[in-house]
Amino acid sequence: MAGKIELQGIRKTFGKVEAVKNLDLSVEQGEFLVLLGPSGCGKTTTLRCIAGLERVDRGRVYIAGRDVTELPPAKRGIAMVFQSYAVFPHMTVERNIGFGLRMRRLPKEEIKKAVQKVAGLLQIDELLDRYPSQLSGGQRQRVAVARALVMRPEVLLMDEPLSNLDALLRLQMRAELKRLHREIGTTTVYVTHDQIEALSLGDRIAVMREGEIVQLDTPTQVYDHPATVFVGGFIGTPPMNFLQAAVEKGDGGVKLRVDQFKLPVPEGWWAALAGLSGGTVLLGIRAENIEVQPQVGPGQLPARVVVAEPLGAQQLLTVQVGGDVLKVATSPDIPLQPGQDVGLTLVQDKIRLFDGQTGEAIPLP
Amino acid sequence: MSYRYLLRKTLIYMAILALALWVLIPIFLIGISAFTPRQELYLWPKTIIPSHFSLETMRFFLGAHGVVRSLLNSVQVALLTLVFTLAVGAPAGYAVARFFFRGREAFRLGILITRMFPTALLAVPLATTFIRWGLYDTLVGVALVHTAMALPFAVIITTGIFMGVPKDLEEAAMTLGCSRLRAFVQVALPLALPGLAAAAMFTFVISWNEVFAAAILTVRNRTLPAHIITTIQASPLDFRFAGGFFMILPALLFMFLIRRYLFHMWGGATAER
Amino acid sequence: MIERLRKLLGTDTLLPYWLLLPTLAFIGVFFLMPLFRAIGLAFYGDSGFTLDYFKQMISDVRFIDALKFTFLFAITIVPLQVITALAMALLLNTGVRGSRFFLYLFAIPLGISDLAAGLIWLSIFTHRGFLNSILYALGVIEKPIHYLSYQNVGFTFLSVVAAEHWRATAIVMVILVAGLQMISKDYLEAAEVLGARGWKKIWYVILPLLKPSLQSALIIRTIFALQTFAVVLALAGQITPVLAGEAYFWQFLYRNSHVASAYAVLLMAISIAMTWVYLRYLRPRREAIRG
Ligand SMILES: Nc1ncnc2c1ncn2[C@@H]1O[C@H](COP(=O)(O)OP(=O)(O)OP(=O)(O)O)[C@@H](O)[C@H]1O
Ligand SMILES: [Mg+2]
Repeated sequence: MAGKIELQGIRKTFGKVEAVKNLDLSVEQGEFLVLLGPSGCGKTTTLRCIAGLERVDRGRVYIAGRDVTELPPAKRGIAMVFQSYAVFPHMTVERNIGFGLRMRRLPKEEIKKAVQKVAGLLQIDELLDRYPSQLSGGQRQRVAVARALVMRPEVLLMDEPLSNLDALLRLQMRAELKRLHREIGTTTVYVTHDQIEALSLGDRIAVMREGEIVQLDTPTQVYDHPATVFVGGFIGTPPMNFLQAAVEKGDGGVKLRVDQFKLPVPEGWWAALAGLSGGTVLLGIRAENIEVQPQVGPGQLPARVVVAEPLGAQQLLTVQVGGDVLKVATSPDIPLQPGQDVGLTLVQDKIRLFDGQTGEAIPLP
Repeated sequence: MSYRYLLRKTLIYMAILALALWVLIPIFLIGISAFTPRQELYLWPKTIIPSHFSLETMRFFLGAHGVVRSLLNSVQVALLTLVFTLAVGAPAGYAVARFFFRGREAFRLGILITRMFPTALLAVPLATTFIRWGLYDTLVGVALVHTAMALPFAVIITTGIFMGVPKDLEEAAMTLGCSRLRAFVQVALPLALPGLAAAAMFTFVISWNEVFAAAILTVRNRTLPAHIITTIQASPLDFRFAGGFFMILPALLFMFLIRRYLFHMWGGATAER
Repeated sequence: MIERLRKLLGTDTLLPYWLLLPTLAFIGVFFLMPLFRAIGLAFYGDSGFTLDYFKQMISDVRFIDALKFTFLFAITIVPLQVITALAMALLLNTGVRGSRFFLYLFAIPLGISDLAAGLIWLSIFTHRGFLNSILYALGVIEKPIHYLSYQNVGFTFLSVVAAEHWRATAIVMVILVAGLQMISKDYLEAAEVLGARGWKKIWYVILPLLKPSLQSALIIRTIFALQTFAVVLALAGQITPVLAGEAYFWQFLYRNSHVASAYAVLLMAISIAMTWVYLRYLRPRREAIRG
């Protein structure tokens, strides 16, 4: 019912395009893993390699302990929900959901019972006699999920299943999918390029870029401790802010110079920054971890408000610090005008540092 | 404004009606000819509408030596052609629609080029080849040549048909326990069936209408058009009219049945260029 | 290396080729082989390479006439068809009510063979045919006119043109309608916004965009017009000989595959030349569409 997935050194090329490069990934039993990344980074290709719809060029695929690399999709113990839903237009909902079981030649009665049950679970038992053309987009999506779940697969694969729904329905189905996973507990690999979906659904998130996984971790870790500048910039609305900072070693210890401002660094970090003296790093900080004062106080980073957007629960500021532009989230109660000078305080333990060259996170104690 | 609009509309309708009459009247006339009493065809002065409706001409035509036999031959050849053409051409259409492979564009170009071959260029040399192969004067031989003639159309048409069936559906079936072949049979085939039926009828009509190759490649086993053209100089007018009427009947029927697909097919055919 | 080879020979890579194989084999046996054999038959006799068969073809009494009529047919029929088909397509494109119905109606001759079309028009042009009957009824003539005779070659020619024009306009129309459907509505609306209406819109917007469809219709129709055969035989017998008909007679009556092949090769050469001309001089230029 729920199996582990293990990808070892997977590679897949299409002509000259290297869609997946040497990818290792293991998904635990019952885990909900999200593949997240920008368009064209190889998410779908990875998923299709697991499904067996693409034959890998190199590497091995294990599902529930079996080496399935050479097996066709039918024999891998997987089920898949397609982005387009791929609901068969020439079959009723009931026949659509029962299709896989019929292919397994299960007795009619048993199929009927299983279909009824899964249809109940997805609240589409009223629609069993309809044809897909008589369904709404959301209902079709449910049929696609039901058709996959009824197979009781080792592994459930979903490729952007919510991307064709309108915003409200997407929110609703997101919660629904979460509930289903909790109830059924099938190992799930879920592809999306929507980071909110990823953060809310995933037990772990694998962030992909150009055919490689750049970070594989829990949503909080991925959000709080991005492994690279790319991950920080890709995840979160607004994405993480980055400031150019020069590492300077003086009498008072190591400091980071941002524009004209010298930011003191806790002693614990000195060792990590020792080798970078004289070089530059990128200082990363999220919008909600910056505090704003209407006047520049001592020890505060001076900035100028460019835009102030009231967004209901909070106010989003765009401010300028030297050559860099930051996004800052504040309480909507602070009255601020564009052009106004403000002082910023960066929450010390939320500051992340990244190598100026490689963009990789500098491990801080 | 509305006066000019009305005038414009009237002119358009009159032009359309004129063209419609131009298309329909000759068909109507051959129908009349085929049901005019035989001797009235040769009278002068001759009335346009016959004195009475008569099956005599048709009966004479069907009773004439070799007609029924050639009719049956025609049906057999057309059915064989239909089967051969779809069996050979549909897989190619499927491949072009589904896969990106090296040489795909070259293949499509090659298919278009084969449409330029004059029938004479195929039929004349094949007559000598078929004698050696024992296919001369056989229905299978004629059907094979007709298949060659219909094949480019079949490939182009079936490509369009299979492109209309989303690849996802077959892949979904494969993840649900089907082999590639089974997924095709369970999902792609039923969805492509109306289109394939239209392509089949189109192929049937191509074969049913073909005369040059059929006449050259047969002696005794003639198809209906071959029989008519080889005896045309010697046969009376009423025989020819009845033959003409008979030949257009199934063609008209099939064209009516596949009317929806005509534009689809030809639209696809020209979009390929 | 092994990875490359495995990928090259994997089922996924080879499957499309297996699917193409029957078609490729068919093309090999029924197009390429006859092509080479026809060339062989036309140029090689019992004693090796020879131009005798071509000489025999050219010196035949009917050859010059056949060549002349084949070209005359092609250059009269094809423009007539294109103009008529264009008229049909544009009329229906005005979106008047019932245009779908008339579209199917105009397409009817698509299913009619050239032989049947010849016989249909024979019922009109034969000397006890409908044309004479109507003229008599109108009091224009007393005695039937022999339209289809050696004394009246001009009219015989025109009757074949009428029949072919009637039969094969449908194909051109279908191609043009399909082409019109592909023209984005945006272009037409943009044209209207810019003040192009009626004839101007047709001339400056629709026709240039329709050029690819016109081109394929012209190529297809010219190639088939050059092969005109059964219509001619049904209506004109041997009064207006054509190349395809000569190939037929040499093969069927005189049992001379060599000369028949010479005719076939000549037809092929003309077809290729005409296609080349169309592609060369009618090439739709992207700049022309954009500019
Ligand atoms: N069948 C194919 N043939 C050729 N190239 C392909 C094929 N499928 C994918 N690619 C290429 O491989 C790369 C990865 O594609 P993939 O579909 O996996 O991206 P993705 O992450 O799913 O993107 P998206 O979010 O847009 O769906 C892309 O550059 C794409 O162009
Ligand atoms: Mg994708």
